[in-house]
Amino acid sequence: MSSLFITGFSGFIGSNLVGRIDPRKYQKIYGLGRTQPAGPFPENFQFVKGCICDSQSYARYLDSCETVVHLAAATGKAGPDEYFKVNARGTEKLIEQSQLSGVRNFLHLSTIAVKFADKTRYYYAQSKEQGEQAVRSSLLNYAIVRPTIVIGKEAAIWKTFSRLARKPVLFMVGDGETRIQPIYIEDLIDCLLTILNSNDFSNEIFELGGPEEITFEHLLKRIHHLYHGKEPSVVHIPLKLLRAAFSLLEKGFYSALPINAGQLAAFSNDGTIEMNRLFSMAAPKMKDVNGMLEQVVPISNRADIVTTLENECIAFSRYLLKQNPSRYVIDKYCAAHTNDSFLGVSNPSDFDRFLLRISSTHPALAKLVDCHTSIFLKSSPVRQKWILILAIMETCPPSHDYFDSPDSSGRSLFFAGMICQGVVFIALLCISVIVFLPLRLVLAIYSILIRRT
Amino acid sequence: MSVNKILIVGSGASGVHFALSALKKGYEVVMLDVGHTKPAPVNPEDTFSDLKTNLRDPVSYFLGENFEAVVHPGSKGEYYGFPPNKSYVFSKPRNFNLSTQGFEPLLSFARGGLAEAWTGGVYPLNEKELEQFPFTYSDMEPYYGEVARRIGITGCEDDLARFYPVHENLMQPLRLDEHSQRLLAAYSRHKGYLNSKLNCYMGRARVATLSSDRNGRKGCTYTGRCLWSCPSGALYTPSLTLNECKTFSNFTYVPNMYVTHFKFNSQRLIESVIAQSIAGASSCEFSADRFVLAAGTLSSSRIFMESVLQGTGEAITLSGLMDNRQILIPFINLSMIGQKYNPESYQYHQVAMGIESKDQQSYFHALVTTLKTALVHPIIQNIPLDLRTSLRIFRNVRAGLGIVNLNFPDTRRDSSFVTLQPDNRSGRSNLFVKYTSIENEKAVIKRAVRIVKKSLLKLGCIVPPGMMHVRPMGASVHYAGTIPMSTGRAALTASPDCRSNDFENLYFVDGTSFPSLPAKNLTFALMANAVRVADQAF
Repeated sequence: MSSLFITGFSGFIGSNLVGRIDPRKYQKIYGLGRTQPAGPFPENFQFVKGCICDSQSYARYLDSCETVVHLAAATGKAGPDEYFKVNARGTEKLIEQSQLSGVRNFLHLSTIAVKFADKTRYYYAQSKEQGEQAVRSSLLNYAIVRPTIVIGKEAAIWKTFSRLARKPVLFMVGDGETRIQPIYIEDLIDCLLTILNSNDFSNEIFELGGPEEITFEHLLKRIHHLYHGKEPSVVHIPLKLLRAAFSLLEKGFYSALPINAGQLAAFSNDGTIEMNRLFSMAAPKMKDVNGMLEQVVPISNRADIVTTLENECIAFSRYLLKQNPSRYVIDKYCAAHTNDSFLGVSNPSDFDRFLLRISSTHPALAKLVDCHTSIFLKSSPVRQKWILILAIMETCPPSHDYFDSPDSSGRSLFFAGMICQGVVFIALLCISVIVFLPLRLVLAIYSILIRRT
Repeated sequence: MSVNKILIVGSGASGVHFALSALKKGYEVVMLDVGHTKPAPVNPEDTFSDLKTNLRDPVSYFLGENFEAVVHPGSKGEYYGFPPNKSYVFSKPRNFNLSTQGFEPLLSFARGGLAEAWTGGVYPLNEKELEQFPFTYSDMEPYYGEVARRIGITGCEDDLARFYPVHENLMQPLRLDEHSQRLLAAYSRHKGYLNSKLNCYMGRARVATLSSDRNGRKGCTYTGRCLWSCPSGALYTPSLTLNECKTFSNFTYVPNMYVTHFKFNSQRLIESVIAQSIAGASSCEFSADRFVLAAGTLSSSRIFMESVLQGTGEAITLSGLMDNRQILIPFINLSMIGQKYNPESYQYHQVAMGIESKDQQSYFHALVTTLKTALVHPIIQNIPLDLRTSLRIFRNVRAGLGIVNLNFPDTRRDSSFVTLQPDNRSGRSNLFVKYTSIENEKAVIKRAVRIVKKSLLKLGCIVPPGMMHVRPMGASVHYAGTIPMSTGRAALTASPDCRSNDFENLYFVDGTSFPSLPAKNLTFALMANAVRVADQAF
């Protein structure tokens, strides 16, 4: 059993990859980096302190490795020298040392920007192109992966998109018609694992994007809509003007600028992929744009869901406690839905959705659903939500008083009331069986038919 | 052999009391512990109700940042959500793995161990319950008194004295809440019937909570926050004794250490203990003259088995694991219906119940807790009506709600055991626990539950149908019996002073060495036994 060597293991893509590699396939997994992050890591993971530009710092670890995964790169606001030092010359050194140490396979993470027609002042793309060139001219069996924009909660590019799109006015660089093909991080990792697990190093370049092409402007508009529930106003900033301004400013204020002139190339060059066998195989299982946005936009921030949750909270609170919830209670109720333990509620069956909807519309219907679920569907989403409301309201003012005091009726009235309530409960339970059971059956058959078609 | 240095693994109830006794005798004591620490109490002067009003974010305090204390419908039912500020008690180190069959154990790696989250029940084992032990009640009696002096125990001599011997240093009982007062008053009225027909006796519980100020600790201030971690320190927890140990210059406490095994020589003398640092993956070795396992029955058994495996290559199985079966029986006191409940009172059990079988051969131990400041949503969802009606009922019966926690004894059987299973993935071995219940358990439970229900009815309480809950084995956290004390010298047993018959300088002062498990809460007997071992064998 041989070992695996990974550069850039602590970065956004690297940490996701390390978390999903099967450690049983390797004797050791070496991770090259400058500082050791907290982990967790597999049992056979070993941190190697060093830098790809200094081959002496890692040379001896390559001896037992059959495969190198090269993810390390200078990105973002690095200076031009840094880009070329790490992405071009660092890659060359790593390849040179890999060949000397007897490494056979080399998985190189590049970028779709390498194929941009116009890379003027785009030092990142230029340096990555030189890195690719070094891989292709080596004696190693290689696979080069050129991902498009990679979306994930921790991705720097996602944080930038999210920040831009949440503003009331959308400032769009250029005409916004540049086409992109974002890929979700988990889907990219699936592709990298496919290469590693099948040892597929046949000197190919794989361009990898998601299954959906979209313009920049549409993507930002969709994100804006998720946060605010409406279309944003868009202001277009002429690209040429911006480029000229940044080119001038770069000479004196390079490090102070949010982006550099070269990076603006992403707004004028399409970031879409050429079809290839790896993409064709993986595409059916990949997330489309809406799917990946659902993963990265917190539920408590999504306007459509927040409105529904707020309405639910108010209706349920009125039904159960006969009082309106405070803003604090509503916020807590919404926040609970971002928690993993409540995500099950996000995927209810058609019948569960129906019960949720009618329970929010009128207290009488809520009572009918309550009687039914108390016996037949104890763990149904609507009941989970009612329990959540009770849990929140019993622990905060002023609603906790309601739980702490008996109602004003005397003991005999209480017993008489209970008998009446019991009779009503049994009657409503019978009605609910007559109404809901056939409906449940119909909806179940309907959803099976829909799934088949 | 001249013994100066003792190494103790674990800072739970028995570990700290053994340590304190050994320190007082002048030994150099080193204690290794994972030692997760508890958060500082919030607003210590506030009552339970004040907290809901005064805290900036009360929902996060009571339900947790991630709503982890919300008890979902359909979840395995307890009648309360576990307080988030006590979750540190059950958090496990990354390198601890466990698989089980028929057993759902709770383990603690907290500073002070499981008793950091206990309910303070302290019940001495009597002569009959010590029958299978290699010593008698009179051997234990002074140590019960000594532990009572250290931790502060409230109780009195009443009808339950026939089951709980009265030892030295008992403090005046705590102030009773109204519901408990009514239960005891009803018992007095119907005592004749309950004693003679049902063999059921009631009286004041023995609890490790101060009723008045003592040794720098405040007496109970009745803030109603017992379940949410006593803010005044009136409810005893072992971390208080650990702090006392730390005042000795001959004591060294080493936290963040997960002990994996010990190393022994060809004469089967232990030379050192190997522990992994929780912060990093580095291993450390600690040497001493004598070694004391006090990590709790499951963890101590794991360390023992791993040591044998590492030293000889032999994978052993330790049979005889015991635990108390517990049944929770909720009830409503009809005389309390419509009353306003008072949260400012002691929250754990103030009343206890002892039930003897007709032939007086079996004893069942029951703790009667009047429910007050536990979360209410887990209870409401268990009422078999719609939630709105359930909530209305709950508000009116809240002051009269209570729960009986009925405990059953256990005996050692080969079919209940602990062993190690290799984990191919990590290359380590994992603890495997298997528990098999006694053959006629259902019939025994049925008989005891019937007596409890009849007794409650006589006291004016009803048990709502369908709400009784049989807790899974492991839930009581009274584990014992894997390396039992005996007068013989057989392998995988311990001597009467809890010294291992396999390794001459190894001692077990936790439940590992108990040869039988009466129905009572175990912790008091564990602490007293640890003090006995320190006194007699060191």
